[in-house]
This record gives sequence, C-alpha cells and structure tokens, in this order.
Amino acid sequence: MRYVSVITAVPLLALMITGHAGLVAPTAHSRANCAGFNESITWHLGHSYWWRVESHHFLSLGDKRPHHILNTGKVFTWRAAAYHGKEGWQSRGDHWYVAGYHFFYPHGREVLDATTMAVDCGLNGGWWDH
Amino acid sequence: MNKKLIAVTLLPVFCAYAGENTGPEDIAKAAKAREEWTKEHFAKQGSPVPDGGVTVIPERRMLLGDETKKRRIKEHSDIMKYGYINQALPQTQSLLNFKEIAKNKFTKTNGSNEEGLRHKIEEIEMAYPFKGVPVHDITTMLGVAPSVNYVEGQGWSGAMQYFQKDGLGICSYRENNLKFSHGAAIIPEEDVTTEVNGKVTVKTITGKENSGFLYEVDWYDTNYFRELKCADSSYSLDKMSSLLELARIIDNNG
Repeated sequence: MRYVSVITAVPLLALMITGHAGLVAPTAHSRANCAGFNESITWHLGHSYWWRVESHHFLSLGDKRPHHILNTGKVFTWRAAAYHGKEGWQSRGDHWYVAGYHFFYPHGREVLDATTMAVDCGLNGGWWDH
Repeated sequence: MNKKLIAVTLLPVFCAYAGENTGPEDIAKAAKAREEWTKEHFAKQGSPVPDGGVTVIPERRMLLGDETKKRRIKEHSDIMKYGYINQALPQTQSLLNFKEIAKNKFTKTNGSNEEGLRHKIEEIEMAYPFKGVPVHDITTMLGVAPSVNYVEGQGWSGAMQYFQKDGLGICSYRENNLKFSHGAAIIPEEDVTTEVNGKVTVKTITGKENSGFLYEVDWYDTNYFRELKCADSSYSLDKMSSLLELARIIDNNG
C-alpha cells in the first residue's frame, strides 16, 4: 500500500467551489470523484486548532483496504485538508470511495471528532453504515 | 427520510461504485472488513478508533510527540504560576466580538446541508433532537450553526450555539453526537475531573491580561462530546465555577 503524507493549502479554486464552509463552527466532510480530486477536510473559518485529517482512498466500495492514505499530520490551522488532485475522474470510469478521519488535539487530548464517507462529489457524509 | 427507502433507491448507485459483478452482500462484507482494518490501523497509531468511546490513560502512555509534550509542560508551568495558561488566543477575540462578526454570517438559504448561522435550531436539519443550552439560562441568543458533519438522509451530527450569559460573557456550546459522527477520544488522566455530573471533564482557562480570557469546559460520555466556552475580559476563578454549573445544567437538559 502506498502512504502519501500531504499537508496542503488547497488551491483557491477548490476553496471557491467548495461552498461547504465551516463558516461559524468546525465542520468536516469528504468528497470523491470530483472531476479530478478526492478529499477529506476539516475547517472553521478564522479559527485555528491543532488538527489532523487522514483520508483513506479506496478504488471502489468493494475494496477491503485503502489503495492509499493521505495524512495531513498534526497541523495548527483553520483548514486541515487531505486533498488529492489528479484522481477521481468519473468520465474515465473512476469509482473512488473516500473515508475521512478528522482528529483534533485540544491541550494534548486526542479526539476523533468525525468520520466522513463519500462516493460522490456531494457534500454529504455517508449513511450506509449508520 | 425512511432509511430503507433510501437504501433501495440508492442501491444501484452503490453497486456501481462497488465495481463490476459486486452484489450487496459483497459490499456489506467489504464494509465490515474495512471497519476492522480501520480500527486496527488507528489502534496501531495509538489514536482513537471510530466508535471507540472515551479512554482515560496516564499521559506517559499517550503518543504525544515532542512538540505537544513541550506545550503541555509550558501550560502546566503557567497554571502553577498564574492559575491559567498564559497565552492570548484569537478565538477569545472572535468570541468577544461575535455580535459584530455574526452580522454577515446568517445564511440566506436553508438547504439541508447548508452551513452558516441561523437564529434558532429548528432552522437546521439535525440528525437528532438537539436540546443544547436551556433558554432560561441564556441572556441573549446570538445564533446557532450546524457542526461536526452532515449525514445524508439524516442531518447534522452536531451544532454550535452562540449566546451571551450575564456573569460569563460571550459563550459557545458545541455538541457532537457520536452515534452519527462515530467519534472517540483519548484523554490524559492528569487533566480529568468528574465535575460535570460524574462524567469525564476537562476544564481550562487560557488568556492574558489586556487580551481577554477563554474559559472552557469539555465533557465526554458514551453518547456525546460537549464543549462549553465563554470569553470575558477578566480572569476569575468564580467564572469557572459558574461555567461548570452551566455545564451541569446543559448535561441534565440533554
């Protein structure tokens, strides 16, 4: 398995099309097959925290283990983005499944705040395992 | 929305995402295998595993990293010297100025997964009945926003209320419903009290003279993670006592 460690400042364009802003409270989401990217993101506009996001990318829902993992590492930021460009093209038949694990670290505690799942580019977490 | 109806409607979509010649049973088996693999993966890291509940362990058993260890040593040293963590936080200023900041943050639309501030919780599609801070314990309600994550077909797994409370300042209360977020936590036992109704509780005061203070109480149980914060211009241990009392009221309300 290939592990990819990424700390990204996501391009402004991606930010503009996201529209799913953690405007006034911390929120988390994953998106898959977004015409060239897969991602898991936690953010709260204007408020920085110690955060870490792991985004597990599976080739399909039938896979038992991730094809690869993006890990932001522990970062002090208002937006922790595990963003992977150049994958997730539905037009070429991609069917990625993305699972995001959103950690934060208040005063040394380690809190898994949310788990998010996506098979498409919508801004909704998955429901199928609830 | 009816969960079974959603499942039937969307099943062909998920089969498509599962690859060719993959049926619902194969998808379910793969999901189970993924869940087990993921728990093993995070357990190896020493991190919380999804749906893993709250674990309280000695700090020396936590894999904190050098930077976090240094930060905690500094924080403990500050608390011994000042009674609080001597650090100016941008969050404190944001909370103190929230009335002004909030003016442009109210959402104009009400899409199901739309973020942004609302005037009342009923305007948010929640995955569960959010009770939050009792109305009679709020001096002025400033707004409420969806938080944590949005679960399709169910709603938001948490929310954050902003309010003013006489004697406490400008406050926020955030709730995370673990049934929908699948959260978990590992907490150093040295930080833990049981002051909120016997539950795992962590309290901190962070601030600096002339920049304001942030009073925080977080408490954890098997169903929720909850965070109550109030910002005020001055330091006082009485404020922390009042904050703990409000936390107990919120906990009893939920």
